[in-house]
Amino acid sequence: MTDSKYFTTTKKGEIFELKAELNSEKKDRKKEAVKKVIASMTVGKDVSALFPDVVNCMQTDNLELKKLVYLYLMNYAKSQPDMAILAVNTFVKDCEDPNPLIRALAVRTMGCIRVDKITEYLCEPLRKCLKDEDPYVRKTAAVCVAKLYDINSQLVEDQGFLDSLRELLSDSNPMVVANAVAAISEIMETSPTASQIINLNSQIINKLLTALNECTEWGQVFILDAVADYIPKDEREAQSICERVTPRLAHANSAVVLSAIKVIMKLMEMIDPKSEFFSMLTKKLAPPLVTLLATEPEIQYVSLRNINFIVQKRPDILKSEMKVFFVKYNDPIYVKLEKLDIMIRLTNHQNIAQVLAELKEYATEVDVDFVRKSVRAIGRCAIKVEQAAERCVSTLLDLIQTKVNYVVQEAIVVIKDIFRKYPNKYESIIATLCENLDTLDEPEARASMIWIIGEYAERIENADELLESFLESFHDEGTQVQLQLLTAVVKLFLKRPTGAQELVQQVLSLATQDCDNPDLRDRGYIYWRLLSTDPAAAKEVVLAEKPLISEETDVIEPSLLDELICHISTLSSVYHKPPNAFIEGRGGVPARQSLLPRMGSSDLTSELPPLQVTPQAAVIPNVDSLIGDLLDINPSAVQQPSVMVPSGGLGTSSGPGQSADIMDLLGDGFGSILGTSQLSPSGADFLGGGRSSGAFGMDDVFGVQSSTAFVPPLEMWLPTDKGKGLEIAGTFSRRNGQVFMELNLTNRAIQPMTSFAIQFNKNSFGLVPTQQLNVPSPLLPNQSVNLSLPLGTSGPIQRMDPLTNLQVAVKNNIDVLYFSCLVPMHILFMEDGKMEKLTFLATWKEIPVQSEMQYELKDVHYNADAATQKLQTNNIFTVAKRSIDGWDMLYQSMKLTNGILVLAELKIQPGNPSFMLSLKSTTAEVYQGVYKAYENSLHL
Amino acid sequence: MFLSEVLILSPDGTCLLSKNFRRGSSVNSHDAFVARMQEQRLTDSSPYFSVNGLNCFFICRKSLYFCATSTASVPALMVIESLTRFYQILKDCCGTVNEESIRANFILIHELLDEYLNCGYVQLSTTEKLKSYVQSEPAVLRSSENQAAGLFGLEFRVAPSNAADRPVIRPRVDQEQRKNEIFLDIIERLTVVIAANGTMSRGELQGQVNLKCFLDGCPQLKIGLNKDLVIGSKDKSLKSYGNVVYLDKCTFHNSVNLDEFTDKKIISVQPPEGEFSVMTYALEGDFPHGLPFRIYSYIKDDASSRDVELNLKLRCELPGNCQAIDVVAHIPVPSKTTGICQQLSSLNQSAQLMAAEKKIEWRLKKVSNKAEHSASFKLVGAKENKSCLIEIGPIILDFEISGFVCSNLQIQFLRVFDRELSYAPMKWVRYITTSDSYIVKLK
Repeated sequence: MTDSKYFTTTKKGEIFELKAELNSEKKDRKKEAVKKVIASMTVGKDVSALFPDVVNCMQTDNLELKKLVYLYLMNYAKSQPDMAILAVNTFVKDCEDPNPLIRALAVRTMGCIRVDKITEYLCEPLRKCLKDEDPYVRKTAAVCVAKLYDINSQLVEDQGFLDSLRELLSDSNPMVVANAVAAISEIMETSPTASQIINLNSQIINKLLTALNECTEWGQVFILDAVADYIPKDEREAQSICERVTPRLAHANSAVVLSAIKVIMKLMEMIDPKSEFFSMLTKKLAPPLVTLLATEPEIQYVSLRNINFIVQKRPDILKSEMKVFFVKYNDPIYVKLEKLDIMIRLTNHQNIAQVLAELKEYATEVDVDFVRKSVRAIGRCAIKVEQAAERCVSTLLDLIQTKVNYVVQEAIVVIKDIFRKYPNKYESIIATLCENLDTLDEPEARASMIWIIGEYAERIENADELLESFLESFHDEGTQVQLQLLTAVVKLFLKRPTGAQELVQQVLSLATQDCDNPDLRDRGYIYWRLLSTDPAAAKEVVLAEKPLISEETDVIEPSLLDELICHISTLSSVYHKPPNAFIEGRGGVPARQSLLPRMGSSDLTSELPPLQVTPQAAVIPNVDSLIGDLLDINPSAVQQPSVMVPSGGLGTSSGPGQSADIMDLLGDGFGSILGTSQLSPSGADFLGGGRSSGAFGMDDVFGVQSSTAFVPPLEMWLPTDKGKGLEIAGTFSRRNGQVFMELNLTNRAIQPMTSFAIQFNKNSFGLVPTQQLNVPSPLLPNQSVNLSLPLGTSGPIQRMDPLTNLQVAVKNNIDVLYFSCLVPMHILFMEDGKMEKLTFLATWKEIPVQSEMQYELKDVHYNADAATQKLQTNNIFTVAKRSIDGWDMLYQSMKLTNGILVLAELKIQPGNPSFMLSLKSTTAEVYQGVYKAYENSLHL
Repeated sequence: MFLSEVLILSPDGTCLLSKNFRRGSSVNSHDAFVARMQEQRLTDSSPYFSVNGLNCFFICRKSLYFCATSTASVPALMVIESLTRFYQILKDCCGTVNEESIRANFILIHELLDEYLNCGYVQLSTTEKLKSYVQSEPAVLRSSENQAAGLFGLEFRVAPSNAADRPVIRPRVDQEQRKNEIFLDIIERLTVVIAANGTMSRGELQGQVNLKCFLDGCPQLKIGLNKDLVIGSKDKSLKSYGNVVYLDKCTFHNSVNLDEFTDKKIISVQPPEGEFSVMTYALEGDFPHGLPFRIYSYIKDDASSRDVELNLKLRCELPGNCQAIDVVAHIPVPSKTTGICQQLSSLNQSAQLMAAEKKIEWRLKKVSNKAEHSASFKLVGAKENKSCLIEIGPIILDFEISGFVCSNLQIQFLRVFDRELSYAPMKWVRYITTSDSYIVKLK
């Protein structure tokens, strides 16, 4: 007998029949009827009309029937809240049932019914169940608290459930402890206030670690994750926690293993890296990481994503485990790509031969993405391990011989990088490369080939012919190819002036006259002018020696790396992004976690194991794309601020006096053979900009004190006639990191007013008053009072339109008065909104160009420095400043209280009162408000 | 840490079952998965994605999708592991897991989910413990072959192939006629790379000893392994002494008692209900019996012709009288190949050119011990230039061998300690070796 037969009734009057059956006297018939009802429900039929009849069945001692009814209730309570109240009595009664299963069931079901009226009734039974004698009931109740908090946090705090939860941490049953920990973790994540009530101290941690040994595997995950958030007092405590967690590394459940690894990785920061204990931990971490790879592909993948940065943080752990990362042919493609990445990270001169043999094998596989990445990997090996470069090059040549289109193209792109790393070493292979010119159809490969031709023009006899052939289709090429072609022809001309004169004229006129792209046009103009005024200088500039490219290009930035270590096994670790980058705004912002500094003597800190980090200028943000690895060439790179030269700027204003500027601009351009190199020098330039903004560091100190943030003038919010005699004017301000609502209350009535209270509606930024209105009572007629009401940002959130709209209710003895006002955005900018330059660069790049918005700020009478200062008082921070051709570019960042980051670029031309403002953010809704904040800050 | 919703989707995206634990997000979970499915084949994409702050995870088992979503920053590994476990529980409770059995057992699954994921938090995860909280009975779908009554006595000799595909929780009516059976499987997966000169350049095996128990009253079991088992010893020279069975790594299930292990190599276990791995182990390096298969190749490259001739010889080197079934060799060929002419040595083979994947599939239904099979292929139009030849190979081999494991691990005995001696259990022990990644290089 199967349940599927319940799906088959489709007769008319079905509801009617069911009704009759539900009211039948026989238990079995009743049960069958409820099953039928639920069957209809699961296939989407509306059986809500049967609500009262089903609820009637609830009063039974048959557990199975009861469960069925509860299942039905959970589904329909929301659409029938009034009916659901009927069931409340039974719920409350069931919470006292002698059978613990029924008690737990009742509490759980009540928690699931999201009807406000029910939650009120829930409090008493829940309190009892939290102290129930049966652990099964207690653990169900603990989880229920977290759920209730999600629905109504105020209620939970008022009822003191948080304290009860904390008591459960000391429960005798480990299962209860684990669930209490889970519930507490969830609550702390959403609300910062709760963390004050529940403070994880060393005693509690001790209890948790004791429970760890006895509870179920999932409980262990909950506990380990909670322990990972705890900061031990000293090295000794860290060590003892490590000792107690290490046995978990051998657990069969991969989630437990990874959580244990997380705890240990975090605590290792506090342990002396020279101690024996440290090296023992390092040794113990390898086997569990390897075991994680002997599982289902989905688990493998998540593990690999974690290993990817664990290896960057502590390369020692897996240095001898290269073999496990070798790709199996039946791995899913996402696992293969990830393994490849880790292989390259572990490559060194000892294992290179082995790795290279593998990679060569992969390069002949079927999957195109994988093959491409393998070819790139060979190039990365060459750049990373110098001894192997020659072997890598010959492998690449073999691959080119296969004439497989995409393999050839990838190989050429990486060979170009090898040339940049080892100049004048492998040029003998150029002839082979040239044979494959006509097969190249991808812009990146074409651009790379053109760069090679230009760079080694003196050795390629027919370089002019080759370049000329590219020139024929100049207009159809992508921007990066065009730029390369321009530069390559100029190089050719400088190296072999005789033959290439015609060619260079042709390309310059193509670039300057027939082209809409400002980058290309400006570069063309620069070359033109250079060549016509001072060819020697041109030679010096264009053929200057280029800096070598760095070994590893896609390492994770150290601060992000540390943060990821704190988030091992979570989603952050899979995305390689901090959690606030992808979690929906849930109330408060989880504090950014950072690794704890080791608390040993300070002289040891400098001897921490050196991280494999390349000079910062070369750090290119990790791009998650398949091919954007060694070189990130995408069209948007051209739109980077660094190369955003105002169009026509050169044509109109460049005179001899500005030659320095031109050189500067070239500095950007000439090394910029390809997208990456466009980026890297500009990254360096960004840092250079940082130097000039170093002065702001001083401003930080003085600026904040000398001028205060902008406070908009008082605005009439509630006129007398609407306020029944009460008049309210107000504005908002931000002082010492706290938002205030400045209120002026005037009693225009003839009677005194008393018992004031204020409340906000849910709003976009979760603003709530943190204290009550402190109005002298009574407020006598014609008396006026000024108040500053501090506001918090942890209140309930609801998107308002406009975004900054705030609805306020003020109550007094006369009536409840409603008004709404607009919150100026700048009071929501946080003091810690200043981004790292590199983070800024990465974030700017990550946000698609489409979401950029431009505004014009008119009539601003500040220069760049004054504007910087002015904006800084309103927590709009300047990350870097650059000057391009007489324009001052300010790159600024700000952070809203809910964690939204806004990036801005402010273009200022000295003497011109109009500023150009470009905004970028993941949340486009805030643009209008941010623009207004700029307007306000710069006009007052 | 909590999950917001759990769904089971059919291959075409129909929602077979969904259970919501938390306040919904702005994105409908089901829509999110369906949209993703339309974008790309889910099996090719990584097991998670995010849509507007809703984090979605899924695993694919038996072409059904088991999905979970959450609005919180959940430990990704935990979600995936718990979905995997959820599938395991369904298998234990419903026997086989397919669209039909999920529909038939929807109330049971709802109940299970309620206990397994209380308010979205993972709770109990062993079938045995969950069982005590569940009221519904599983609906067993009977396949026709299952109903065929055994001939007198004969059913004792052979268990039907799907004998183990039964729910562990039994419908009450069944309880009377319940057979006391126990299945013990030793499964090894091989990862091997054989270099062109015939030496093994990489050899690993991953093994599991799985137990599925249908016994009354969960009695204690004792499993005897090879007496001369050595685990993780650094001293590999031991291998040369006779019949020593050597394993590199070995982990045991939590419920295993290892008191007698060091001396007598006996593990005792109080088996929880449902299927579980008593132990997992790994071995790297040479296998005691050598490699099960070798392939010898010869490429005849006639300079005057555009065709290439490829001769292959597959030799099975299993000990004893076991045989391999469903052996498939995947032979990559140059992309220019337009067709093949084939000559196969025996009848139970077939070969086919898969042009899209630029490979030949050479299938052998059965390969018995010490047998040799050969095939010669003429790759028409393969050679455009000399370099095309490097596109041939390496050969990938898929196979399944029953009755043999490469590590030589053996179950010496399996004793059931039933205090009341109320029944004589049926014991089934199976040895299976499968290929995980078995690669033979040609040059």
